[in-house]
Amino acid sequence: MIELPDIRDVDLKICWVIALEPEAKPLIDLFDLHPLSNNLNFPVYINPKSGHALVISGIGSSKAAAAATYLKMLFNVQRYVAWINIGIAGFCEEPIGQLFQAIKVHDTARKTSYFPGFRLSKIVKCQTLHTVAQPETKYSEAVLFDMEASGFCEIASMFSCNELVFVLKIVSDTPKSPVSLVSREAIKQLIYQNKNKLREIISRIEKLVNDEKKRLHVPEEVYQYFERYHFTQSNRYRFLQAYKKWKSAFPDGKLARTLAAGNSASELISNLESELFLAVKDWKLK
Amino acid sequence: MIDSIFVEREVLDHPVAQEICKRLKHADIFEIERYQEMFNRRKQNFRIQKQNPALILAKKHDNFVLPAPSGFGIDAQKNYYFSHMYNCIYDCRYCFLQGMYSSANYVLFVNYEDFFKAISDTIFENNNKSMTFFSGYDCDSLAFEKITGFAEKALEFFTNFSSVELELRTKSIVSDTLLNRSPISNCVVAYSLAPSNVAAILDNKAPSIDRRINVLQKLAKNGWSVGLRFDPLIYCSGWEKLYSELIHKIFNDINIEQVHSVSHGPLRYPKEMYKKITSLYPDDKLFSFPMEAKDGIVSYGKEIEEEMSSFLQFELEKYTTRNKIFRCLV
Repeated sequence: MIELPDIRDVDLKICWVIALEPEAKPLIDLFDLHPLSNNLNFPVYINPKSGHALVISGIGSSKAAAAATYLKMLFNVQRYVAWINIGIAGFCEEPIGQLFQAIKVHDTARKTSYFPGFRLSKIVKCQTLHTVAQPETKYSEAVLFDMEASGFCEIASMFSCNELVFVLKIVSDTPKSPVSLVSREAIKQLIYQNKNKLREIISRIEKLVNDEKKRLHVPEEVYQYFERYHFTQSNRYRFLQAYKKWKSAFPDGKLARTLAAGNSASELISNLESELFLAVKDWKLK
Repeated sequence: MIDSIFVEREVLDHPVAQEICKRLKHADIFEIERYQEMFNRRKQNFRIQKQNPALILAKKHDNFVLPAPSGFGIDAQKNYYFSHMYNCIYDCRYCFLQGMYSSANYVLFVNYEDFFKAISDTIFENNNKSMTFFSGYDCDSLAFEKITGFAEKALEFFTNFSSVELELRTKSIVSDTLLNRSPISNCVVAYSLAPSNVAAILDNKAPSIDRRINVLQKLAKNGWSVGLRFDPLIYCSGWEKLYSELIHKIFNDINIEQVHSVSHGPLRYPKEMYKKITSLYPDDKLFSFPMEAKDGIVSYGKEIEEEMSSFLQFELEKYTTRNKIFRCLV
């Protein structure tokens, strides 16, 4: 069990939102996740080293949204983190066990569509998914059916961006093999049998997360100046913009040296800008 | 290349949509209601999406033809533009489209017939006035031609309006559509150009400058009017020499009679657009330049703009007449 006080320091990469315990179990094994506490509203598992966290939401779109929010608040999840909803789904055709990325999610009750995720079409087949309020037994359209994804998509994209919200579904029931026959054990097996594909998907998603983290990263040295000097909100923004330009222009530059003569927020900003202006004559594009 | 096509329900049976789906037979097809539900969605990440854009086939309902921004024209009394497509297969770092749209997916409006109807209406409304229609404002006019076939249809259309000019703005070397037919006197194939090593850094996924020059020289030899577009002018160490060599290289082997016009324009962005683009690529040296923000426009500043513009004008006048040179000031 991991002590609660440490959890907000965890550097997460991927947050999983899973409806059922049998769907979560293979992922808990695969990514070596451990339960966080027994006293939480939703069961939460985590591996601080690999940066994976998982929440079990229960069935339904609103529960998926609530569980995603819970996880976000619990860990103060950053904008660059990817969110994944994986689970079983009904489909009009075999084979059972086929993994899909849902790239269009349609909420049949609210008649709203979402288009989640960077398409991983080189790794996994893409499909439309309908989120329904009751289990689908007629398989009336050539789309996947689940009960959570739309709520998850609506909320998770607020915490990150649309391209880092992924919905993955594994076919568990079809007209030939109805949902009433899907056992807990069968669900686990369906997830386990896709583990290699899942590893491949996660590796690609982690690359996107790392790139996004790099893009949004604000180095510690910037915060040191925010603490040392008084910055208005507007100067804070200006300093950050000037710093990013300066860092890009002089990747090996020493910030302390450039800012040594500054004694106020505006002087610090001015020092960064001055150094950029001095470099204009010999400006390189690379 | 394109692995997913999203098609508006309304155009599923449109012949252009069907032809495109046939051409991209390996792509998965998804039905949507309206392109905006996908394209205009908030919280999209343009930079990530650009790694694998989808194609959206849609119907345009209005604003087929719009007046070109003032300062965009090349001598005509009336200048208009039309956009049958949003976004581009290239990934030029300075491109304003990355700041204009929240999505990097390509939107293609398949109701070409409505564009041509609107263009002919505009022509009749402006009877006796010289006019230029610009294609390639929100996309590249030729880069997607093998898929869309739009330019071919536009050329057929404009043969009926010989007094009206069509400009196809491009960086593409896909020139079969043009070379396989007789040139059309009122069509200008305008190439966006920059010094080779500048383009090698900034014009991601676009053909090299040497290949662009080869094609434009070939088109000119085949009787097509060509335009040279040095827009945006990119500032860097030694820019004078780089632009001078580029201009010399182009004019060295081209029939000057076939050069319809030459234009050059500065690198400028509306402030909010600049903010959005720089946040997408904070590490890019193009955007770490200490730009000047004035009256809501971000630019290199008047001094650099004037210096570059005067230099270009001077260099271009060595090879062509002043009346063919235009300064674009959008």
